Amino acid sequence: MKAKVQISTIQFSVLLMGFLLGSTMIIVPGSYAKQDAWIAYIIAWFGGILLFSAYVLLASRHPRKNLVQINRLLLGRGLGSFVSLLYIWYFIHLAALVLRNFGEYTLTINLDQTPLWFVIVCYVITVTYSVRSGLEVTARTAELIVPFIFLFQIVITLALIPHVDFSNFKPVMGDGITPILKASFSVLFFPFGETVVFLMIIPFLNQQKKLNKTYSLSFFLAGLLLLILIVKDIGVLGGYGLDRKMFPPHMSIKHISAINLDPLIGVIFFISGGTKICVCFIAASLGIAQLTESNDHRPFVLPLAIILVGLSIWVYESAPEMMHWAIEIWGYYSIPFQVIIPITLLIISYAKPVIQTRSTK
Amino acid sequence: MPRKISEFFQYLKYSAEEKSLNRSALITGDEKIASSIDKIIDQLKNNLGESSDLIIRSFKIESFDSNSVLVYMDGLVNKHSLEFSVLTPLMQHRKNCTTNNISRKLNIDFLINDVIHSLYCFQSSSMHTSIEHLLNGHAIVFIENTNKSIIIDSKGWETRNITEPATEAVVRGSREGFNENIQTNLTLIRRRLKTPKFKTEGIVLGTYSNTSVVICYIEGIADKRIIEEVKDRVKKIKIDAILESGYIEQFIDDHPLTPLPTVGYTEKPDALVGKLLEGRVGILCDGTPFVLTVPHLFVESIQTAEDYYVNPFYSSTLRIIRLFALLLTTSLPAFYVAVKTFHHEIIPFDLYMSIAAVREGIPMPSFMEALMMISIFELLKEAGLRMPRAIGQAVSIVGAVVLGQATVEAGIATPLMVIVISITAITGFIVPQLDIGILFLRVLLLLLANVVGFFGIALGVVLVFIHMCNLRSFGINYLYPVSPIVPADLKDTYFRFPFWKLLFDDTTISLRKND
Repeated sequence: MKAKVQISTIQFSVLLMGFLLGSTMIIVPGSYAKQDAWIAYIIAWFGGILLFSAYVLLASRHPRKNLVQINRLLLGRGLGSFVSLLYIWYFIHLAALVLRNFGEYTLTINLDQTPLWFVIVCYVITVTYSVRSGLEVTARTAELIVPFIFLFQIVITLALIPHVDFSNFKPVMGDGITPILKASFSVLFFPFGETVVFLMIIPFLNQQKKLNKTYSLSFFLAGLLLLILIVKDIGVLGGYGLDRKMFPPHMSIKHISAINLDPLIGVIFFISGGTKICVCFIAASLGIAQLTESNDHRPFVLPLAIILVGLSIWVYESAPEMMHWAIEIWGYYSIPFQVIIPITLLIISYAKPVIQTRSTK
Repeated sequence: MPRKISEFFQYLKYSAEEKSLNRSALITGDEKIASSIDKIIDQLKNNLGESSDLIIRSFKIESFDSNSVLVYMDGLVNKHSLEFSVLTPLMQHRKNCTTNNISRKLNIDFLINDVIHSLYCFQSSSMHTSIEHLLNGHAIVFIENTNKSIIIDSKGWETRNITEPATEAVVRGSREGFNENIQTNLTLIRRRLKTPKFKTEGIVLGTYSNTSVVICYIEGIADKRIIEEVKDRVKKIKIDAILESGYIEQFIDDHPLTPLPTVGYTEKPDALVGKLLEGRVGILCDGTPFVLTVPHLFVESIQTAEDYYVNPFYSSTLRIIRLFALLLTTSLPAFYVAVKTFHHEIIPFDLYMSIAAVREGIPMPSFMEALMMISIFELLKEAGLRMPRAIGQAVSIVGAVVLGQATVEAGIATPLMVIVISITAITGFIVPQLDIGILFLRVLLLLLANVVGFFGIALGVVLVFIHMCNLRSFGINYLYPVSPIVPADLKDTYFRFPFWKLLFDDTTISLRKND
């Protein structure tokens, strides 16, 4: 919460891109729509743009204020604090889910005899070190490593081009529009709507005027990479393959015969998932610091890290349950946080001055 | 318990401070110079004792008929110039040479202005000052009944010649290196920077050693805040002696507990001038050829002065090679162990089978094998550094046999591991400044790779990245200009753009607007 901490537009957009790519790099939330998942993605992408414009509007109406402060300002101190607490829970929950995704992925793919807690603790140590060092260090680390996601992903995609079979895309909309809409619903809330977390980060951006441009550009780039990813997976695995496989990118990379690039996916996910957890973690700890009116978020980092480890181990029984939750339930669970509360806040922020002026008259 | 510990540290701190306070008053009091020659000699002996290298030469200035004494430390002065420019004129000075309008009374100003031929001399009335200068290699003349001394600069002692530095070998570029004499070193810099903007500031450090330390920078290029910060930190140093610039380095370091260097050093004047022109501040220390430069950033570890003397394509390629070497030397053993233990599938099946066939009968896991070979290599390296030159060949032969042939034939290590460690060792020499950091990282990555494979390597690398993002050197981020990205400054990091693309005024450090 130090006033000095500022991140540049590049750092902000790198954080945002890493966040959006997050666990979507290995889990394909739109797989319900099978070969039409790419249409679902495009629809969700546009929906995501609507959501994010709402967030940006909210942030720009309250410059230099984070979500907790906005809540308190618009909903009053009591209700605002309560809503902020809910949000903090939501951020911690999100971080724990991504953490579990990573743990399950690592265990399923190559470390089948390593205990889950060990992988998670290793991961949390890294994330905690980064978060404890502050937002600035986290952003600069992301700046160093997030570009590798793009590099590796492009290498993988190029290597897979010979294995793409375009007949896998047929029939287009064979099952009608319903599955597509259903799939786009889950894509909208995972990952696009999750950017509500950035309402906690936006106040630290050093050039607030460029917020809109930065946000749109990184949204576009990350969305484009996700689209390429899903087109590649559909092309290689086919619609049913996409739906059946637990980690489609991992399965599609197996088609490269000469060399196994599988660890690259692991590294990509390590980076993107790490960025996502870091952002959620920082948002949660900053939120608590703001709620308790402490000017340092660091005392809350270690307890939160311990909660994170426990929560991520406890939250699911198994990997299939995780997939089920991430793809089908998460969207409904997120609606209040990603849509209802931000829209309500936006309405209140427009309505409040009007009501006040009327009551004074 | 924590309170006990903090009290203990407080105690250490205070006792150190008290000691340093006592030491600052080594020469007692500020005595006035006595009037009679005998008393002056007593005063000198009181302060200096019966030092065997203290030479006291009595003589008479005939023109004024006054007893005098010339005092100097044997070996610190240039005797020849002392004889011809001080002793001869004083002793041969006759009354009749004095011009009439000068009074016949003894006059120190007259001696300094008209008699002594020395380049630099001045008078003092304090014994303390006189002795300080005496120990610094000046000669002192005391004259009866004046209560004053004449301090004459006649420094002259044996120094090493300017030779080619041993640590930074170059194919192209100046072969001059600094030596142990700070005056020579300053001359070497000044000869390359003929500008009034080049500023130096001297400080004396060390209560016993009284070492001269010079802070130098180019006004208008170096950031004022950095200069102030350097001066501030250097002036705060309290220590009994400075024997090498490494002492200063450890005092002014931003992060003493990291294996990565945040203070740079160089032995080459052209390299130092290059760094000064980039806005860095140099710290010269008497008695060592190593000059410190701050702020020191990570990119400097893969840059050399030679990069600027050759074609940009060539130097850019070399920098990429150095970066690649850094990658290899830190992660190759870890990579090998990870592949061997967890990720068989990423290498072609035939290669894996041949590795497995060779490993048959090797008792240790590949992690232990790698750790053993790394340790043997580090031991050999240290032995090669410490041993007398004459028996060097023995160690290198034994090393080659042990590392290469014998371990394989005895069935302790596989030939592939020997290749891996050899590559690691060779590439380790390409970036010598990061030596210790590399060793730490290598072993850390090896450990993590042995536990969780590639995930461990990624974990280790990211941890190190976070650590490096945490580091600062005199207010500048250690990874600048890569993180935070400053596109204008990226022209001279991992690539070197041609000179017409590099703006000299805007190079690395002076551009702090974005920081």
